[in-house]
Amino acid sequence: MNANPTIGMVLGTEDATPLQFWFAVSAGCKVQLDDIVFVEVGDPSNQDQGVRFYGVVDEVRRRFEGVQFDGDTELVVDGLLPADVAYGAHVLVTRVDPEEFIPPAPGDRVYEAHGDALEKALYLDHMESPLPAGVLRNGEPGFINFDFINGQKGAHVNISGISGIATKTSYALFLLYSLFNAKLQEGLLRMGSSATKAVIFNLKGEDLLFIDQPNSVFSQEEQRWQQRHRVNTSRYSICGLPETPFESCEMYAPARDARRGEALMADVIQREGVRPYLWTVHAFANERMLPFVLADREAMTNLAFLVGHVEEKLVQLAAKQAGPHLEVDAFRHHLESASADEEDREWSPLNAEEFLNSKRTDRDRLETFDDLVSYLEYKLLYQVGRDGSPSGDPTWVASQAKATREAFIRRLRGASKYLRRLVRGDLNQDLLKRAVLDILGSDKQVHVVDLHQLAPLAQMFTVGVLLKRIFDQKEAGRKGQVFIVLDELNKYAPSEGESPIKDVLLDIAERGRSMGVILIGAQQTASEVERRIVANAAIRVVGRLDAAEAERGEYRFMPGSFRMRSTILAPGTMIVHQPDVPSPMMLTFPFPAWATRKKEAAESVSDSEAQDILG
Amino acid sequence: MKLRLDPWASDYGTSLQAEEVVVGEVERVSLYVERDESEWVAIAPPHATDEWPHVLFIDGCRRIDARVFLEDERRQLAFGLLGSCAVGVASSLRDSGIHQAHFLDLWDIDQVCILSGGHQVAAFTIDQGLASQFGALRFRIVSTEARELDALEGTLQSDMLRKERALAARLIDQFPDALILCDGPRPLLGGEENVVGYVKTIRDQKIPPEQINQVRLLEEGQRSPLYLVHTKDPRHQYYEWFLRLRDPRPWLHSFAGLVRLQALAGSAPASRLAEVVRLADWSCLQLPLFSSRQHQDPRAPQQLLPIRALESELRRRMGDTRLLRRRITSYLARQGG
Repeated sequence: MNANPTIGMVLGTEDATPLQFWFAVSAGCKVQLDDIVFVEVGDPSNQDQGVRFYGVVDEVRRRFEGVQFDGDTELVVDGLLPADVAYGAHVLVTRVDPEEFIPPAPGDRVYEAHGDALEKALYLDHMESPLPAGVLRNGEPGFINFDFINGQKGAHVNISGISGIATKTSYALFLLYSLFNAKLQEGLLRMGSSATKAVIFNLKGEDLLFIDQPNSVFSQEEQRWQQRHRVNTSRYSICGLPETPFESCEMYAPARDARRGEALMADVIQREGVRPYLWTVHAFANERMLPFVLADREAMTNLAFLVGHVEEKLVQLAAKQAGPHLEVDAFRHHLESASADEEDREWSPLNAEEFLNSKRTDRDRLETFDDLVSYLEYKLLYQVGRDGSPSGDPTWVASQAKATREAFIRRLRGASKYLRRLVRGDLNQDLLKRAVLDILGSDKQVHVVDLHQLAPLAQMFTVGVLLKRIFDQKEAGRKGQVFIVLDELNKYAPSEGESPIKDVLLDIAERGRSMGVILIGAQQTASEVERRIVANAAIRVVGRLDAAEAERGEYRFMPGSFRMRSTILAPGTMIVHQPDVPSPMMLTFPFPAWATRKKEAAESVSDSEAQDILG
Repeated sequence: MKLRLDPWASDYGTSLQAEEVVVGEVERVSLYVERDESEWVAIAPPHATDEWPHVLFIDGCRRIDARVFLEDERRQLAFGLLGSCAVGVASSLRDSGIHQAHFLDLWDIDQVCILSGGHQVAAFTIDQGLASQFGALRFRIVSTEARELDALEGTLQSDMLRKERALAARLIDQFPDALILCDGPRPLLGGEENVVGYVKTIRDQKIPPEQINQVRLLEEGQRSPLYLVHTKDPRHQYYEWFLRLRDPRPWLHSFAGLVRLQALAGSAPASRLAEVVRLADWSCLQLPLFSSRQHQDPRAPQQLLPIRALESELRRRMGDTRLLRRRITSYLARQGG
């Protein structure tokens, strides 16, 4: 009737239900966790009609049958007591076809699922656009329904796992690679792949700045896997993917703290050709970046209003100007400290003209982040009011208490040492053009934004500003899809408290689906991330988990056996859950074909290759 | 005088006085065949012997599932019983690194209907009545001339022994090198040498009190000297010896942990003596390994582990008596009132 091999029969000594059952494994058969099986069950009222139950093995056990005491085991092994070994496997039913929820009968044959049966068990027949997601333990490719990533039916991926072992970032990159390279059915990347972009935030070393270069140890590592699993094809070819590094990449790193007029350099050591990024003082005002400086604004609820008000005033200020600096009414002479700044400023022939210009008029230029803070300090605290006392400009102060204003300025001053290299107004347009982070406007597909050198506050600022800009552009109707890979979600969107970055991420999680902004987020512990962000991810992925973490409610989407196993997963093995397949898949993903650190970047020619070339 | 405990669970009678079917009619006993009177004391064989690495344990099981009466319109003609009867073999092979214990697929299990007073009915089969039932029950008819109620059980027992004998005969052919250990007295077969009877109870004491006192002094792994049991039919003469499987605890009676073993002597006992001595020495060293402990079986230590496993396997294979009774009831109900 079917070509799938029989591997056992439904047990009669344990309850068999439509949702789960045990089966006795036939002698000589090997059944292990995650094996996919099905059982053919006769309809008791109509023997001609059968029901097929597809399922995943989620527990296997062997024990001596017919012995009573623990001590009997030794007797059996010594040949003193006869006993049989009972080999049983428990199956979680994933699909009933047709939907007749009768229990399987004791003795019904259980088959290993292959070919069509396997596709049905994994719901591949329902997937219009299956996205390769790795290799299942039986050596077949595992797929994610792409409709649940691209926003059609659902969106977003969330990955949990212990740092260093769970290989979260590697898996996120593999998914991304699969997205860009899989032979997806036509129209899958709806706007055409050229309009599809990816933004990857690099938090650890300069690791991800090499993903556009081939990995020198890749073939060796992948062959090791092939040998261990005795297969001839690599996991890439099992998944139907090429073995190449990422194409069409652009790397960005924060600009070095350069002096006025010097060339802008990206702050990286190992990689060349990285574009520096920063924002102008004008853009800071005009694009409402102020809230992202005060990432934990909930610490002082009074600040929220003031921040919003000042943000608005800055937008008004910037509206009539072109940047990169901001021009304001002269204020420095009112600030004692400002004069000290002037003295510090070094003389350079290149900026002499600008400098003179600024002196000549009754206007001052805000060319650095510190200038901006000074100006705000003047406006909020020291501007002399009508009554002659230094109480700030009433239109800026907005009736906020002095202590609040002081706290606000204190915080900005505290932030300026981290932000002065990222927010500048003293560069000429040519330099600036290179340093603008315009991901949607770029013709490249994959954009790696390095954050690892930045202090936490500056990281938050960069992520917040960048995501906000992308989201705003998409909201304004920009075409295409953007995939955002962001680790350490617990830092950007913690489960408790409010922050502007969390607002942006929540917006992406809740509305991004319809706008084509897809978050591939990761964190060590899902329980520490805002619940709505995790809950909105259609695809949940778990690598190695901490045992206490695995017991939390956030992981209840996995059956108990998977939760237990998540604490012992090896690096490179992931549990993937998707909405339309009831049971999670456990799969491994291939070793990256792209370099994940400097020493993997294959740049030199090996001796044998040289010989080949030379003949 | 002291009170001393019997180690067996109380519902099994006592290890001193449980049922025993006499095998062959005993005429007399020759005590001093292995040792003289002065040397008739405990023997502790010094060396391990690896003879008979392959031991086959035979046991049978019987069960009364229902009692019946044979009636016609006017009166009750006979009484009877419906029972299950099963025999099987557990094999233990312990030879240079190979340790294997398993059941041989030589099960003989069936249902039997025993009727008193020589009455007969046709053999009948209870088919599966419902789709949910598996298997059919085929009842073999055994008739006994006796009219007492007790005789029915005796008939069931001898039916089982008959099966055991048949099984032992098969094993002799199939495994000529193995030692066949029968749970209970040695079955009467003929000239077979490798079949040993294993008697758990000490009721029928064939030797005088002086020697019995020596037997009471046996320690673990020690045996009594052999004595020869003469039967009317000289072909069935056998050697017998006592063996202490475990040292009795001080609070147990002095026969606790003793068993008797029986091996063929035949019509020329002297020619068999050396062989049986080797066998008796072997039993001292090997059988204590198979003996059960108090927590493992209510009849410890005499109940051997393979036999314990075999008994529960046989009971399992006979099926659940409540289900059988239900099948029988619905079958008789379908026969009409």
